[in-house]
Amino acid sequence: MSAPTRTDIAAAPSAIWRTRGLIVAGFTALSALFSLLQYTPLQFVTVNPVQAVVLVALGALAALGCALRMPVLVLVAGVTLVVVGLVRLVTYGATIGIVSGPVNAAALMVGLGTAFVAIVITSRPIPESP
Amino acid sequence: MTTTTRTTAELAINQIESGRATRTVLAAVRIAVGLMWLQNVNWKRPPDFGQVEQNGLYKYTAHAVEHPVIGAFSGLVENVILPNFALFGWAVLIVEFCLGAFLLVGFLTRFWAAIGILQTVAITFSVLNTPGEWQWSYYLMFAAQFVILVTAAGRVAGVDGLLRPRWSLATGRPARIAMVLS
Repeated sequence: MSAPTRTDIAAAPSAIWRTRGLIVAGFTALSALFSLLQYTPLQFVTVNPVQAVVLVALGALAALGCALRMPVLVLVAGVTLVVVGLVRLVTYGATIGIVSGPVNAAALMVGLGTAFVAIVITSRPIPESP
Repeated sequence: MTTTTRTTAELAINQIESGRATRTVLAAVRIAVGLMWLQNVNWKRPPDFGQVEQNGLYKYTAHAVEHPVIGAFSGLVENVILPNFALFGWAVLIVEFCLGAFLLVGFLTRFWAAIGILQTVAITFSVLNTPGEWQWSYYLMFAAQFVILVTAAGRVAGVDGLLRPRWSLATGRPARIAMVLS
């Protein structure tokens, strides 16, 4: 079995990256539901109202990017999730305006943001080596 | 020749399943372990991580001294970690934050599974002899993370699965390192 070539590994067809993006966008928006859950054994992530709004808004933005075939919107959603998550990590323990809330929701944002960025990367052709 | 043939045949007959069900379960195990780390990162709270009120992370770390499992580890906690607890607390917070985030989505999965195993070693050495602890919690944490490590479970429904084909074509050192860690 030979190693894959650049031709073998082309950019993901539009339908594939958009489907992947929509799945992650759905999980992003749905994870806001943890803010309504009061049953501790299933509350894997603790989400406060501001974090819930961020998750729904950025999930919707990413879904819009998939629907409109605009990966840049998915990228913006992904990078914003990562930045918001990291800001909460370094400020954890303090409440600074709307920067508040549990750190595990911030970790969730960083993970989902990383997934969005990876999906955008695979939507682009592999650059030719010089 | 006969021995070789028999061995090859046995390997073929006993080949481990790699079908959809196996791949789905591996992804589910990875996601479950990620959620476990996520759920448990919240109570590591800066700035003192429980040192002032003797609760939280400080309390559980101090169990390594009060109920020692291994003398050397107990001495390390007493003489190095507890006197510098804020620094240690931030390290634990950042590591468990990344474990939750990246095992959940399968990014550099083998690396984070290895880090999770090391973190489980530290937790086990801290609390295994603490009254009321169920030792199988820690044994199962080891088992799940070894499964993730050796099967590279991020390649199924994970970021690693998306990026590895590109990393495999790249010539730079970061891509080669990412291939090893994923």
